Amino acid sequence: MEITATILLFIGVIFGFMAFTHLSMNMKVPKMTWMIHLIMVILGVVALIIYALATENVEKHYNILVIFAIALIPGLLILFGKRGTGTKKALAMVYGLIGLFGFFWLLTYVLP
Amino acid sequence: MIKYICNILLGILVISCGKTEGGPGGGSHPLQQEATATAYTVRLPGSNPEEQAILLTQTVYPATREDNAVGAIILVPQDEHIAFTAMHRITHMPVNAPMLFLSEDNTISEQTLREMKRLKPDGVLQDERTDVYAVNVPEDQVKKIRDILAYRVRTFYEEDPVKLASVLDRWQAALKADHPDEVVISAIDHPEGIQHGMGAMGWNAHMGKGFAWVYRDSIPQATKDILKRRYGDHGSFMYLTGGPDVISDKVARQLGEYGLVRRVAGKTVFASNTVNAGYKDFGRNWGWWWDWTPRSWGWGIAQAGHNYIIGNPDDVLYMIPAAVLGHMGKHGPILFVKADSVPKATADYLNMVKPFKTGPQETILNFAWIIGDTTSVNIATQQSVDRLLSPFDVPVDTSSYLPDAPILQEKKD
Amino acid sequence: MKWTYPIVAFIVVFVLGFGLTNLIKEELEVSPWAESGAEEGRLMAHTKNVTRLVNAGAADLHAYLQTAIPYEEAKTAAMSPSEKNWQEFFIQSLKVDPEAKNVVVVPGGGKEALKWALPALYYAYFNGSPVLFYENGKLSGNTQSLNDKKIFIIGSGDEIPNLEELKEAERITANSPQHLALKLAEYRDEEAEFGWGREVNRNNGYFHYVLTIPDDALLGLAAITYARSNNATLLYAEEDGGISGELDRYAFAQRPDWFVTPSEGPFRHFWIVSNRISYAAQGRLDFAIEKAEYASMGPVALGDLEALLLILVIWGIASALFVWIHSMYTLPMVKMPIKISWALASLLLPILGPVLYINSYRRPAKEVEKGDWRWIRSHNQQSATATAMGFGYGANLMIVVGFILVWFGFPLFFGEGMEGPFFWLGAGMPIMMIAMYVFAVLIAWLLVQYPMKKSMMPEMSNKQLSKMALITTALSMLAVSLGMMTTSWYMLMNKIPMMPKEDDVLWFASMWLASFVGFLIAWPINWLLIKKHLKPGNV
Repeated sequence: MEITATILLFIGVIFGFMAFTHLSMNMKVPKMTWMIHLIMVILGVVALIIYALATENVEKHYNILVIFAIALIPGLLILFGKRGTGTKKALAMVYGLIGLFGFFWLLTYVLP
Repeated sequence: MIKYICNILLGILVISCGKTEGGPGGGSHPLQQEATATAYTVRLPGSNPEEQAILLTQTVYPATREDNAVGAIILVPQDEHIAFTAMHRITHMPVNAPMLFLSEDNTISEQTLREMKRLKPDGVLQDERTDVYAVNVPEDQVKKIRDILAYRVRTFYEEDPVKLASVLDRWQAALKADHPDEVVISAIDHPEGIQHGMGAMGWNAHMGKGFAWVYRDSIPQATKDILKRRYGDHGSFMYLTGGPDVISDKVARQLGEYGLVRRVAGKTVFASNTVNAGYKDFGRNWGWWWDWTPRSWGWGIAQAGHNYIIGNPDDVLYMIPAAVLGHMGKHGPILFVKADSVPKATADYLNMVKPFKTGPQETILNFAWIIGDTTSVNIATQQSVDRLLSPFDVPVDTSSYLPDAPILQEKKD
Repeated sequence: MKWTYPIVAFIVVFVLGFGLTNLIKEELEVSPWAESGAEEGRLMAHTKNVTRLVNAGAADLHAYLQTAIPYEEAKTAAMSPSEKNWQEFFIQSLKVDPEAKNVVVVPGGGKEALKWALPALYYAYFNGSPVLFYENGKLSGNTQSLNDKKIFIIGSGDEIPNLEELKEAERITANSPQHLALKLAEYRDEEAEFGWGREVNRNNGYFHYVLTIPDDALLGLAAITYARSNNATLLYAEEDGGISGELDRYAFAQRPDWFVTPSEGPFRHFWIVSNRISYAAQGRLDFAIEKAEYASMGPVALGDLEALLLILVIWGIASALFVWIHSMYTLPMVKMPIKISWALASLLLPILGPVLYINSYRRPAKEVEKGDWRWIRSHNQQSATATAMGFGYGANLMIVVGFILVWFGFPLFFGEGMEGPFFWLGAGMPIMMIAMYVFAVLIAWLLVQYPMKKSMMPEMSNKQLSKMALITTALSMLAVSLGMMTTSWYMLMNKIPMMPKEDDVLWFASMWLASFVGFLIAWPINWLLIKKHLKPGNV
């Protein structure tokens, strides 16, 4: 489940990066790109939660869920807030950096 | 509101980083009672080489995190010459490997296998992240390590210790992109060849210099090859462990062809090792324009404030893995005592490095590890060593150093 | 084609970001493996820097230490200490030094008082200071002896009131016994010769510590002989068997460093006398006081060289963020590949990167074709721009390749065929350097230089283009490598005594420094390329 979550989140990271590249060049983000990002990230986090509930391992990755929860704040503001491109860029950057940090944190456990 | 939530989340994150509470650490340990501690010594009470090696890895590597676990593990059969050669060349950084033994029937015992699991090697990054260095370990046992523990194993198969030294020399040179020019040389065919060289082996486990074997009266080809690999025509600095009775003057003369020859030797194995503890050779090695490196070999300890690894010269297989105590922790050279007394050479040396009473901020203290159970070094000897290491006077009355024997004071018929 | 540039940026951000996160994580962890088998199968409880005296209570411990430490100078009372007789036990054990310049006043009475008194009792026993106990509103013993000695009142803030005879006393208080013990460990009044004075900058004493928990203070008292035999200071762990952040901080401050060989002194040692202190705490303390080389001070602790070089990395990250954000918002006419390369170059060129970037764009510009802008720059500035274009992608890719190799381990070749003058080609570092160069050139050529050249010179044939791109990439990276490889060899193999690993700040910091030097070497070489019109410098 840990590995599944990592793979799902990795796909999410790639699409997130694509979306951000569009945004940073003041282009409209294609719907497919951000939708795939959203779905993958949600599935990834769900997989992490299932892992935390099911595992007998001492390490349950709660800290990663906390980091993602923090990333959720700017994430939701992008999704539902009605703001200009400039603000969206800034929010996306904050969201991306926190989210990426959380993903790396997970990766430090998964990689050999 | 958002600020409030962020604060709470950050707080949780910081708290979740780590903790040190847990179950009591003073749980039941089978050998705790035998592991007697005095003010300046702690005994590691092994009763066979396998157990001794495990006690040593448990002492040096708590393995509660990557940084206090091992880099790799050396696994060898209970063969004095093979183990001695491996400890000389493999232990030091960047490898950072303690030694564990196969059992007498050349398999990995359950106890050793569990210890290998506990040690969680990080893998040597300069060497394909190798976790275990298996020297002359049977292939089925190597497979066991790979299958059960999933560790990366590098194997060396060389029954002849002289040639093994050469193989390890090549491997080390590749690891560091350099040959250390200082080479320790011990006699393989002298019954006390290893004991005379034990202290020097401790230095190598601590500092990672070169090692080669010679015979009492001749130099094997593999050793000549090792010495020739050093930079320059006379690029080796050789340290012979033992006097002319151990390595003949003829061999010493012939070695002169490859560079500078020094002897680290005393009349007995006890004296050889105290000489080693105090020995320091430094001077020219090589230089060009703006960069130069001096040679530097030996502990050179002649003052208070050091740690020692103390054991019985008859317990060769106990003492070889004990060199890991000179590689981590308090470091320090190997010294020998008898089971029931501290020989004069060792006592004289310890008297020289005796500390003195000091203030709270400039405290200077010695320390020592006693290797083996009470049949190797008895309690009275441990106490004598403790007193020699202490800042307190050694009483003129030396009765505590007397071996158990009938009292001679009264005339008996 | 445009997508190749962000892909390279993604690779760089992903790998280096992961590496730095991994670094932070490993430094923050405390004893992650303590609960997953680190203690399993242990035959005895001692570790190299921590000796644990497992015991069956104060009487047992006291009896054991009386035989184990038989020195007259460190003798304690013959009776075993208990919660009832602890004051008497101490007074009988104490050998008062008539020349002592200080007097210690501590709370007396029950177990609670002992918790507060014990840290001071250790020092008094070591120093031979007279001790007075305050209980039920009065002081025990002879207060006349206080003349011409400085009085230290030690305990919780409210236990001992301001007494008439203690007017000029110095008070040392804290909000918990743990804090009080730490305070006394660091406190020193040189004139009155009071306090252990074992601060972070005392780097030459062989300090020993006896560790217990306040609830097991009696065990600490039973081990008071160590205060004289080993000059040991008493410290407290937490009641749950863990250690507090303050004690952790203090223990790390006591980590000794070595300059020539680790066998040089001093070393430090803990004696744990409470069975309730956890193995995780023992492991942490053993690790905290493990000797380390001066440059890095070992893992977790921050060495001087490490701190200095870390500034380079942090400023680099800040510089990259600044350039990236600034260009994203304010320079719509600069093309994306150029922006990315400026941001990546600034990552490795702290301060210098942003300075060159600002200098390059605060200039008159003209639109040569639609959407294609050129800036008017001096020759030096053009060379800096040209260097940054190649360096931003190239140097970062080299570090990325280096990190991946370090993470998975270097290959090693040492067969008999490797003997001879070129044996060192089988070693990890040379292989890493060659791999760094080759892979970085290949990636930069395919994903950066070829598409860049193609967009600039669309009329040229693909074959010619790729050849030209390969040559310029290889050459400009060679120029960067000249400085980068020599500096990284010097740092990793020569300057730092232990080659840093992938989870060491010094590995990253050395690479940052090496890249900086690489840029400085490549700059004048690009000056020539600009002069020969082989590279553009005004984009």
